[in-house]
Amino acid sequence: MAFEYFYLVLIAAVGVIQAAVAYNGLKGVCFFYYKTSAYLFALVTTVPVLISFFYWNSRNPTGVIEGREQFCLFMLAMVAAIGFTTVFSSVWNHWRFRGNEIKGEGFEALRQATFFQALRYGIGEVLKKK
Amino acid sequence: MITIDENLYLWINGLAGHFAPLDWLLKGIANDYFVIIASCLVLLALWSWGKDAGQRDKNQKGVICASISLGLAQGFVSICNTFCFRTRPFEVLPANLLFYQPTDSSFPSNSVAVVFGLAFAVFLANRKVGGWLLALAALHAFSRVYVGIHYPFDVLAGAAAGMMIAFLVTVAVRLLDKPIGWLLGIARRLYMA
Repeated sequence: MAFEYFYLVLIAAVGVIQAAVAYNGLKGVCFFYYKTSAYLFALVTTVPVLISFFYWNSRNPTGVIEGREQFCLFMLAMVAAIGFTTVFSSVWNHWRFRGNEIKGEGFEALRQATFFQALRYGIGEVLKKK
Repeated sequence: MITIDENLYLWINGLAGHFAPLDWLLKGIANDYFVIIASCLVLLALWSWGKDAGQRDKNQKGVICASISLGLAQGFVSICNTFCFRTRPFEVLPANLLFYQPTDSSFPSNSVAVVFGLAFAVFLANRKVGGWLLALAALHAFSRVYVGIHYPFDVLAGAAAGMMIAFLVTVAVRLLDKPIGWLLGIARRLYMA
């Protein structure tokens, strides 16, 4: 049951992240070229998961995950979703954004660069200052 | 007071079992997962939401407040439960129970405190998104009474506790603007905010 909870939240979180980054134009973290594809992906991943949770008590009539365990599983799924998104999008978009100038701080930099490209640039800047 | 609470419970819970689609809808909304997970997913989206850095900064502070409120509301209810135990209404009153039978204390409602704490913290940072979350939280609170597992005062106390905690957390975060800004600055340098 705990595993089911974990993977369902993981799938939904990946979908939600894609919708949010597509809407806000953070192309470096987006798996898709077109925004519509990202929204469709989010719909396909999030809606079935929410339906699963809606029916959770029908599927597991006495199945309760305690508050603390639920919190830990949720946080674990969030970390996994963020980790998966940053690694996958960095590899997937590497050639698309290669050589782009990195502008802005934080998420703003992810409009024209992948997470790893931005992180590499950031570390380089810190080392240059030293 | 207790009679008002019991009469209100009997009236709201008495609505159950007459209209199958409504029972189905509120049974799903009343469960311990659906509303909480949906609200947390909104928080995840809100973290990167905003057309510019200023708007995003406001949303991210709202997410921080909501996360702290969620944890504190859960802790507050746990502490309350060690001092006071209220029997579930379906154990002492004739009820149309549409749910499994929880064994923990009825007062205050844990899940209602958590969702209201989260929703109100978001509301203080982003009225539009917070408004939707508060509406969802209110529906969750009503559904807990409708399915027969809480008295109305349990959910009202849960909502009040959650909102009070969210308000205090928001005030504290505003007072601690410098250290919070410093933490967000580190997250920004790591391209996580």
